[in-house]
Amino acid sequence: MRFGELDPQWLRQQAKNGGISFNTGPFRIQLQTQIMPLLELLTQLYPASELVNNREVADFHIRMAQPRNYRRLWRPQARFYIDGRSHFEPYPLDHAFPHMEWGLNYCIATRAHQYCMLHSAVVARNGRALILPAMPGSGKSTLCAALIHRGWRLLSDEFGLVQPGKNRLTPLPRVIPLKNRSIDIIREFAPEATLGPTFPKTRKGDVAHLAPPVDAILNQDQHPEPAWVVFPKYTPNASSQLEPIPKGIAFIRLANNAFNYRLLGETGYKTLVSLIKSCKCYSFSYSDLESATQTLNALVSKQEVAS
Amino acid sequence: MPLPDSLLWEEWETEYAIFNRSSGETHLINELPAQILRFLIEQPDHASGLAEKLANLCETGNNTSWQQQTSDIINNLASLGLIEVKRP
Repeated sequence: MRFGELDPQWLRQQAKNGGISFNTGPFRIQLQTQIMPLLELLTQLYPASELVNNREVADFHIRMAQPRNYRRLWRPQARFYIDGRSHFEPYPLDHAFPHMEWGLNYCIATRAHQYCMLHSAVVARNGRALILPAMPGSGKSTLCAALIHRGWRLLSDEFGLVQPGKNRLTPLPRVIPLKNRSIDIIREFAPEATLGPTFPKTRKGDVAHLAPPVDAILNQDQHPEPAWVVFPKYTPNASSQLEPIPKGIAFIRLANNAFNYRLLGETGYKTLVSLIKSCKCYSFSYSDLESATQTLNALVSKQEVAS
Repeated sequence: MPLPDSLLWEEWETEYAIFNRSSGETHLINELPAQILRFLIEQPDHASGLAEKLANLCETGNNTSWQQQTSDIINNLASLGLIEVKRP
């Protein structure tokens, strides 16, 4: 059954005791927690996620717990545990959800080396994927949030997972953390979007999480082929401009952007060579989201005409 | 001189993405250094011999400036660990 269909009381009991297991993209998470607001937000933002059998092997065993120290009496905290160990400083208790999301990202980035992991947003349309690598000032999360409300399917806001030997993108549809001004920009751009509460003054400023659309979760086993690599750059007051870039440059930029390119060695090289060979590569400067999404939508139309 | 199977090559328009299996490093180089690598994979050579072969291929004069340019590229390739230079 899916989170949205479960009895909240039953789910709370499960989460407290043995924990709950669910899939996020190719990964199985087992989560144990007594922090109920965290669980409520999880089910609110991932209503289409399916509860799976706890007895099957999980990729990540996570526990979100309140440290049992005196501090809990006046400033309660939440701590992220992976496989029973905590690698991070605790967060304020009311920031447990962003802490869990951030902790899970860390776990994936440092462990999932069966994939070549690009630090990118990925969206897809008509079975073809658009990769938006994260560069400083790229605004990739805001752009990704806009695209999924203009006809693109969300694969991931954070990880472009490419399985070596298979030139396909593996979806990992999770919440999109919008920061500061982007929160209101997306509220205005897509009033139908489901946003969680705003967490003020996190390490990245104010953060609100945009729920992944239901179709992104339901289609997370569909792996599109890469078709475009677009390096976005948010430039205030710029008109949307898409410029082709040489594949050699795109290759090096993508290799530098990947979490584990060096670690994968030759496998990483071959994986990215295949990916770049099958893609058209562009740099993209933009400011207005409506115009930006129209420009990127035109890529699909062009490809359809060409084929 | 590089071992023939120590390098993986991919040609992108006017550039080459080269993966060096010995070091695990990836390099993006353009046509002239790529051609020098090709010559050296065929057989080891002196800087003067490489400058001459390259000048013939590019249909240009093998003058002092050209030899200096070739020598600079050879030094760059050596500093990247793509070739080994043996000094007399």
